[in-house]
Formats: sequence, structure tokens, C-alpha cells
Amino acid sequence: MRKKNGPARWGISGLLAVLAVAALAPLLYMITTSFRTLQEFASDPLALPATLNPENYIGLSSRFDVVQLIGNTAAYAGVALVICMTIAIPASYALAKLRFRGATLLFVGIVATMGVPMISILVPDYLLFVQLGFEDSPVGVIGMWVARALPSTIFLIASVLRALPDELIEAATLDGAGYFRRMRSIVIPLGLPGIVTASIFNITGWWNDLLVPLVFLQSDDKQTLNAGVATIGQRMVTSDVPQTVTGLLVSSTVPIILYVILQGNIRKGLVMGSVK
Amino acid sequence: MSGPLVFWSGYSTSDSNNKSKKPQDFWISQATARFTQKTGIQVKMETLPGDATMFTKIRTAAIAGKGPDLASVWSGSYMLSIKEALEPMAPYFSDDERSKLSGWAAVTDGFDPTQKDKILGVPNGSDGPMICLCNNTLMSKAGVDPTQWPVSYDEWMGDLDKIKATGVMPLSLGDASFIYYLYNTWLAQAVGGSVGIGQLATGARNFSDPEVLDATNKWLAVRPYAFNGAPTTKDGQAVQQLYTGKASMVVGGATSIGEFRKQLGDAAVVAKLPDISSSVPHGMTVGGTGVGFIVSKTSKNKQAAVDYIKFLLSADEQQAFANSLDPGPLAGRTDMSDVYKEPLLNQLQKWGSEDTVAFWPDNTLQADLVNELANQAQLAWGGQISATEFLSRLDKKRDTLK
Amino acid sequence: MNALTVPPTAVASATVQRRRRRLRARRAALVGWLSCTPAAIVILVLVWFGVASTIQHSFTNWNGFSADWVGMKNYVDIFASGDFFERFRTNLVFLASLPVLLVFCVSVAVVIYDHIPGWRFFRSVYYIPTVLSSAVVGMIVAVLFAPRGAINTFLGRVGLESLAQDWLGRTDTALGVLLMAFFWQSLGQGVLVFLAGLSTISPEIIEAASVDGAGWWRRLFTILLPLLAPTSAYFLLTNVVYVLVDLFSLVYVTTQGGPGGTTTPVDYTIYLKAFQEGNLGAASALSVVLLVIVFACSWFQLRLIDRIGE
Repeated sequence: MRKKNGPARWGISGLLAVLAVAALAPLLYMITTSFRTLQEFASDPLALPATLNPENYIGLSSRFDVVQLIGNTAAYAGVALVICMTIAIPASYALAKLRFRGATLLFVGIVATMGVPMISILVPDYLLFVQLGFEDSPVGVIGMWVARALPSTIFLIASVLRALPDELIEAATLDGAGYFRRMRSIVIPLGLPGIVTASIFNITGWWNDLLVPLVFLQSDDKQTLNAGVATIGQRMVTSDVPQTVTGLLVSSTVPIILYVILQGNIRKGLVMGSVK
Repeated sequence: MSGPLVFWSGYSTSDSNNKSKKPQDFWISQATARFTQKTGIQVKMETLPGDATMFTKIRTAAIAGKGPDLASVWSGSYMLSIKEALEPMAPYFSDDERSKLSGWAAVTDGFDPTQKDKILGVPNGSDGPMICLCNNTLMSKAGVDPTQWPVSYDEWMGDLDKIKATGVMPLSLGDASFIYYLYNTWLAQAVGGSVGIGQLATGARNFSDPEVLDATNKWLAVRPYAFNGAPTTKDGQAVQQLYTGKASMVVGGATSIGEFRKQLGDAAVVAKLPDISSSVPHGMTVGGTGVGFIVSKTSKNKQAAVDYIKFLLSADEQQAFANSLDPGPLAGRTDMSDVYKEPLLNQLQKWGSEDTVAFWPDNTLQADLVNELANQAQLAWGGQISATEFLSRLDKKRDTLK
Repeated sequence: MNALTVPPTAVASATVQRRRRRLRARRAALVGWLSCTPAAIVILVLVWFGVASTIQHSFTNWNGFSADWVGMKNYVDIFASGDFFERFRTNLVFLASLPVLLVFCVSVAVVIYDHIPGWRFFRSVYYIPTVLSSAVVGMIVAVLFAPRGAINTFLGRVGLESLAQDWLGRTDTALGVLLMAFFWQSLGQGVLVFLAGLSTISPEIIEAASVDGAGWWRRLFTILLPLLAPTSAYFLLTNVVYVLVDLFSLVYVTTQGGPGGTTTPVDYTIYLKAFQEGNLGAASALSVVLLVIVFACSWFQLRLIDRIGE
């Protein structure tokens, strides 16, 4: 849609630019704050850093084994993702494409699960995992993450798959392709953008989760990055805003990098029904 | 012993003033290493968040029976909210050992340590009293001498007037100091100390009583002498006004002394808040033991846990802690004084062990009531509700909790 | 030809066809159910078992250690205490803002889809705040709007001193700040969702609603929005659920539910009751009430989606 860019369009562009500044400015503010000392920040919250003072980053890495925490979080998220997709893709396919009795009820039930607040089931689920012997284990975190992500993942992937033309799948079935062949050669490749989108949404949510790792993991060396960084604040000690900001910033880099790399796939994934 | 001792520590292992200090350089890590060397008992230390989410973690673990062997948590009503999971401590301490530590009331269910079976923790030092940290230079320029404090409330307000007249804001308050330190001091004074606070909790006394109303009005009258927006300013930000010379004092405690001295040098002076009325025990402050050790009932290593606690609280180790200047409570041993190189800290420790220290009201009142107190105080301070309305809401909340 | 003259082989085919159809249907049902079983099991065990436990505990005074039956007491407390609507006020305010958020996201999406200058840049940049956790968003906002924070300092510098105020200290401005943070966080997600939706509409119709010319706003509402109904439904469903159930992290870091507890959404109240007061029974009851409300909203919306889909 190449258009001639008249004044009206440039005007709108200007408005969007203001919006973009509003979207980015707070983030840039955090970055500049992370390079300032507490005294600098308190005397003038708006100024740019006097020098690129890395002390907050040093403070972070002195206090935490940041690499280990990132490794933990990435490992848990990775495993959770594989499990989640293995379970969600067949279910999404069935609910989107197969017509069988009870499908609607099942679908409604799964979507309804999205409305259960994590806080409400935190304690009962922890007790369950303790009874299974997982009181201080990544198994608990991974289990909760999968449970949390499944409903919305199925909702998203089913919506994407529903837009796929039935003929493709029927053709494969008539060809004699078995269930798993159908999955591997048709459903997954065609639904891939949706799968990638759901994966990114999930990983972002899991990466930023605080309460579940806090409760389900008791050892510091198994902890996730976000939950670990949250222990910086202390009772009655002056709040070190630049330090806290630095911790949160480092913790945010992974989702941001992931997004930047996989931008194109997110957009393709949400395109519902444009597969011709 | 089965496995290492699991200790959930509330000790901070990050220092704002020395960011490259590693956790193993802090006293708590080194003391633990010394303990292991002496007894052969391994200690696995895990950190707790320093804010209220600490209790989400501990409570859930306690409910599941998978709590740590021991932990260092906020005392009073905070730790008593999981009292069913706590091992009574009296049997592990001889009378002599008990007398060497101060603050047992803070870790006792019912706050009366003569009821030995209700002692559910071990007091970990003291927060000291909450007092005024003053810039003596700015104050003497206004003709005010904080070393003569505490004075009566009216005299103190007169002093604030003098300070304000020189163009300096007398007070800088933050979201904790305006209520938990300042208001709670005068509230405790008005009801005669910890016993009175306990009566407020049970309903034997009302927030709407005339003496509390009087104290509340006097608290609200301080507003013109403090920077705007105290309830939404972090204390860490508020104290910067003191350091940059824009305010002449803040209300705080021992944890601020290090930076206070560094910033103000010889102008750094501490002084008690005024007596809210003449019937108040002179120089009453709030504070006391804010942190306590607890041992889980389900622990398989109770004796080892207590041995570790006693080691950390021993005179030698407390002296080492004092020398390290790591963030944490003041030494709470009754047989130690003048342990700090910093005279201000020694002064606070002395004041902190006086009889006129009322134990933290927010560690005494029920959690829901404390929440309501903080919420309504913010509205009262902001002028959105009157003092009478503020106090009647507190009474109403307390009545629903009985 | 009539039934009497239909050759016998054709009739047999019909029966065979019916049987084949039934077999196929049964096969599909089997495949369908088996495909869904792992998901159903995980969700049942990890979510619905927890819900059942919550429902059961809502009739007790469970504090984690002991649970005595108290019947309907917790529910009576919720409904008879007179502050029912106040509890939900924050959630309702956010709910009411959703239509505004919707129009906002659609407008931006349409304009980007129309390839106004710089559209590629905008498309990328708007999503970045969405990727940040609510804790980060909340912290940024709290630091910016502190009484002596960046915003007030800036206002002072440009001579708008009178506008500088205690943003988080008054309920209306605090809610405003929270909403702003929410919009900031959600714009990117909305734009992406609607960009996807727009790509399913035929280009000619979009052409008709292009940016040039007068009445663009009206054309947006009368032409594009109705066509974007399925996408809007998806967007609204996910955001309604978020606004009812997931505001805790944002509010906890920004206002801690203040001032005076007036910006406390229901899931934050549940957290306070459960973990600060230790009253897990009351927290469970409130969870159940919230669940019912969320289910009602979702069911209503799903029905709408279904009807639109036809």
C-alpha cells in the first residue's frame, strides 16, 4: 500500500512519534538511572549520569551469581515450553478441527481456566507438590507454569488453526497419513507462527513471574532471576532505587532480546486466516 | 543431625556503600563459617526477601511442614501469625542465658515473657529507638539546641517555628517515618506504652479515646513543618533532603546512622521526640526488638539450630558484628555496652535498652489493623478525612477482628 | 426415479455410508478426546483441584494450620460488610477503560497498517513495554511520579510548577497513573493483535477507510470496527480476564494498594487476606466470588464470539 505522503499523513506520523517516545522514554530513564549512584539520583532524579558508573551492575553481580540465575530461569522456561507445546498442540488441533461431542464444553472449560487467579491456588498446589515430594524443586515451578500457560496457549493456537483450510488436512488423511504424521507435516508447520507467538507470550510471562518461584523454590541456587533480584530490598534500610532498577533492568533484557530477534514471527503468528 | 542446618536469613548481604562486597565478606557468612569450624555443623543459608513477601514464603512453607530449621524474621505479630509452626524456646535457655538477651517480650505470644511456655522465638538484637536525626548546624543557626531534647510538644513546635523562620524545612518525612516512627511514638506515649497498645488491640481501650485524639491532632499539626507528600515518598528519598541541607531533621533509627555521620560529620546529632503531654513517661520512644530467630516445630535439628543462634548472639560474635558495620539490628545483649566505634550508635543502644521504649505498635497490633492504620493515616495526613473519622475507622476495624 | 425404482445397491450404499460416517465420527471423537486428555489432566489436577480446595476452605476459618467449619460466615462478611463495590472499584475502573484502550489500539493499528511514514519503527517500538514485567512497569511509574520524582521536577523546570502534585497520594490521580501504566503496557499487544486482524480484511475495504480524506474517524467506526469484531472479541476477552485477575503485580509495586487502600484490586485483597492476615478461609471465599464473576464475564463473551463467528 504505497501512498503519497501528504501533510495529513505526516501529521499522524508525528503523533505516533510522540507515542513512541512515551513508549521508550521510561525504559531509557531506567537505563540512565542504572548508571547513577544513590546520592546522584536523590539530589536530582532527572539528570543524566555524571559518568557511566557501573557500581550498580557490580553490586548486582557481587550479590548474585547472575549467570546461574539466568541459566536456571532459561532451563525451567525451556522445559516448561516443550511440555506445554507437546500438550497444547494436539489439544488445539482437536478443538479447532475435529468435530466431536463435548468439544465445545471442553473448549469452554479450558478458556474458563484462564480466569483462575494464581494467588488463589498457590497454597493448595504447593501442598500438592510437597506431598509428591517436590517441596524445593524446579518440578513445582515448571508444573505451575505449564498449568498457567496451557489455557491461553490452547486458545491462541486453536484460533490460528481454525483459520487453516480443512482441505489440506483432509488431503493428508486421505493420503493415509497417520495422526502423528499429520501433526508433524501439516499442523505444526502451518500453525508454526501461532506456536511461536504463544511461545514468546509464555516465556515472557514465565520470565517475569515472581510469586511461584518464591514459594516453590527454597534454595537460593535454584532460584529464578526475577525472584532472586527481589530479595535486594531490606527492612528499614534506605531504598536504593538505582540498584533496584538495575536488577530489574538486567532481568528484563532477556525478554527484550527474545522479542527483538523473533519480532517477525510474532506478527506472522497472529495473522489469523491469511494462509492461502 | 540430618543434613545441614537450613537457615532462612533476613540478614542483608548487599551494601549500598560498597557494591563490590560479596556475600561471603559479610559478618553473617563469616560467623557461620566460624560456627561450622567450631562445631562441624554445616549451615545452608538461603535469603529471604526483605519486604512482606517474606511471609508469603515462610507461611506457605510452614503450612506444608517444609519450613527451614531456623529463620530470622520480623518479630511480634508478624512471626506470631505462624505460631502454630514455632518451637517454644524457653526450654532451650537457662535463666542466666535468658537474662543476657533483651527483648523477649517481642517474641512471646501475648507479649508477656513471664509466661515462659509462650516464648516462641529468640530476640535478635534491637532496632533501637526511633528518634530525630538532626543537623545541629542548621538548628543552632535557628537558635535551637537538640541536645536539650526531649522537651514538651509545645516547646518542640516552637523550635520548629524557629527553624522554619530561617528558611529551612524543619522535617523531611517518608512513607515509613510519618506513620510507623512518628505517629506510633506519640500513639504509644498517649496510651502509656506497650500495655496500652495491647489494650487497643483487644478493645479494652479505644482509638477514639480523648488522649489518642489529642495525640493524633498534635501529629497532624506537624504537617506544615514537613515536605509535602510524605506518604508517597520513600524514606530513602526523604532522608536525602537532610543530607543536602534542605531539611533540618528526619525521624529514623540506627540503620541510618552510618550514612548520616558520613554526610553531616560533626553536625550529626540524635535526639528523642518530644513528650506529647505531661502525663507521659519522659522520653518514651518506640522501637525495640524488630527481628527474631524462630525454629520450626518440624525441624529435625532443633538443638543444633539453637546452638547456632546462641553462637550468633554470643558476646564475641555480636562484637564482631558491631565492628563489621553490616546492616542489621543493634546488639541486644544486656551485658554489652559501648560496642560501637560510632558514639551515636552507642547512644542509641543505650536508649534502646531503657524501660521507656515501647515495643513497635505495628508488631503488636493485628496485621489487618496495621494495614488499616497505614491506609487511614495516609488519608488523614492528606487531609481527606478528619482525625476523628480516622480513629473511629480504626475502632471499627478492630471490632470486626475480635 | 422414485424410492421403489432405486436399485438395491444404492440403498446398501446408503447404509454403508451411514455406518462409515458413524465410524468416522467415533474415530474423530476418540482422536479428539485422546488429543485433549493430557491437557485436561494437567488442568484438572493443577488448577481445578486447587479451585476445589479453595471452595472447600472458603467455608472454614483456615489459617494454614487448622480449619474449623464456619459455614457461610466468610461470604456474609464479603457481601454484608457494605464495602463490596469498593473492593471492586479498582477493577471496575480498569474494565471501563477497556473500550478506550480498544479504540486506541485499533486506531494506531489501522494507521500503521496504512503504512504511514515510519510504520516499521513504530510497529517494533510499541511492543517493548509489553515485554517488561509488571514489576518493572510499576517501579518505573512509581519512580517517575514520586513527589520529588522526574515528572514533578520536569514540571517545575518548565514553569508548570502548579501542576506538580502528589500523584500517588490521591485516589483519582493514583488511578490515573495506574491506568496510564496499564495502557503503556498494553498498547503493543493490542496493536499486534489488530494488525493481525486487519490482514484478514480485504484490501479494498481498508482502502476505503484510509487515512486521507475527511471522515476518517467515522469510517473507522462504521466500517472497520464491525469487521474487526472477532479480533476485538479476542482482545477484550483476554484483557477482561487480566483486569479482573492479574492486577496484583502492577499495583503492588506502584501504589501498594493506596492511598488508603483505595486502589486495591480484588486479587491484591486476596493476597493480603491470605498472606498478611493469615486468614486463608476468607481469602478463599473472596477467590470464589472473583471466580464466579470472571466466569460470568467470560461465558458472556464467548457466547458473543460464537454468535459473531456465524
